[in-house]
Amino acid sequence: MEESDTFSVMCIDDNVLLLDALERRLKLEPGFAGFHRLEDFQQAGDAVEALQPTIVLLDVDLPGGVDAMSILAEIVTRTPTSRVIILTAYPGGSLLEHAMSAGAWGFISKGVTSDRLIEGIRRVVHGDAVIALEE
Amino acid sequence: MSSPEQEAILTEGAPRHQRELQNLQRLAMVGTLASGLGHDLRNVVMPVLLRLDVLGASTAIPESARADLAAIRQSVLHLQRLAAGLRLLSSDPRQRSEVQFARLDEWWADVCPLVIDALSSHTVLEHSVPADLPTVAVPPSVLAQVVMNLAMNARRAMEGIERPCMQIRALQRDGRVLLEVRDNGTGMDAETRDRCFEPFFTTRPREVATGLGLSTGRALLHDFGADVRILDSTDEGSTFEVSLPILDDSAAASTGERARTVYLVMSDPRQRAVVRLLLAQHGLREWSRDTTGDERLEARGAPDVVIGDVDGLDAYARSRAEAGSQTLDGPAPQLIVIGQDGGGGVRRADGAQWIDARRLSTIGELLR
Repeated sequence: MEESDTFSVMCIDDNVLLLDALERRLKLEPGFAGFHRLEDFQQAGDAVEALQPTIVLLDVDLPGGVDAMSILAEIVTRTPTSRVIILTAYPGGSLLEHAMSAGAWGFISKGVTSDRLIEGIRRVVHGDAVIALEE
Repeated sequence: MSSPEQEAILTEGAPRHQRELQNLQRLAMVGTLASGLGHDLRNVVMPVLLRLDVLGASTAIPESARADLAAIRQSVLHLQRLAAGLRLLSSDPRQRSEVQFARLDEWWADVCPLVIDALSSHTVLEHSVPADLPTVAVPPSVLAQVVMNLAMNARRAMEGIERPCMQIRALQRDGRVLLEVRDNGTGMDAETRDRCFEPFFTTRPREVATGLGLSTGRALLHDFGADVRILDSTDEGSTFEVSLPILDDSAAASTGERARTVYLVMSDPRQRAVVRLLLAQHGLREWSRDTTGDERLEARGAPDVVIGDVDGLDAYARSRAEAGSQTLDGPAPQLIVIGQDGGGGVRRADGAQWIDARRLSTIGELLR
């Protein structure tokens, strides 16, 4: 994928502050083609299959007992063209290894700078795998 | 059947054990709080940074406001450092996923804001942590816990002092990296000097102190071949010395060789990213840039370890055969194949060790 190619992002997160800010920020990026957010996390697999976003940013700490790892597995199986990046405020533990071996393309801590987050999204769009932990 | 004396001891001891249990529970709660606060800080700071990016890119922002934006960003980045420091304090260094080595200058950048907050506002903090010190074979979270504890003790020792000053100095001596933590407080009496590393020993009321900080910190340091001791303590202040093993020395001592070169030959960029991270956590920073496995190896020299998938190791074996023994002289490298099915022919044919792709974190055990 070239720099000028378009990409869309779906963010599966209940943090409205983050959703709004990320959408505003991504609109500055060349090639950015659309931002999707979800009301019902249980329907994530269907929504990703229907909208086919280039990148899915997936928070692991979802409300209502929704299991993010199950969502990851469903996306990997049903819509492998959408690349999942785990976005987490709990960057420690064995989650990283589980997520990457389950098919995630990226694992980015919410403790990184905004530049590293955007760069991480761009790199996954271009086919790299990205791990970005604390500064 | 216990004697009257034993019964008396048991009866007297019960409230003490209860207090100690309560102290441990409180300590665990503080760890949970630190972790939760770090989590919430990250969730708030990231949206602020993204919004600052948007404002910074706007042509409608007057030049006069750009300095304000820059100042806000600096403040928010400080909060982000605090979140990183809180994580260091609340993480378990014995977990395999934790980084097992530290560059002191990078570590200090994370921990310095926490230390400043732990000291009273009029305390001067002087620090010298040179960037050219060797990497130490101790997890940053262990160092953070120890130094934070020393800082909090120093704060109490400096209460009422006219010009409180704490000094942190890192230096290399006799094959170790030493971290000196000095305060100009009132010092310790003889009993405190003798017993301060004992579990549950404290000079403060039990309601506010656990007496576990220094003893836990020292026990953690011992796990990694490090130590902390009192250099001196007079009525003009105390100096603690944290002695740390150097990473390259410990690696060299265990292998009898130079730092190892690891060559990665795998097609899946996701797998490669995880392995790179794990190598970095074990202090192995050298690996090949190109990892497709189809490049010839003459220009690189012989690696010490080759890690890859089945196809990657096959390609490596072909490259090695084509290059011949003249260009790839030296001992055969350790081969580690990542797979789902026991490694198949590669393991049997080449003596390669096999690792399950879903359990890559155990790779450190193979590399030791």
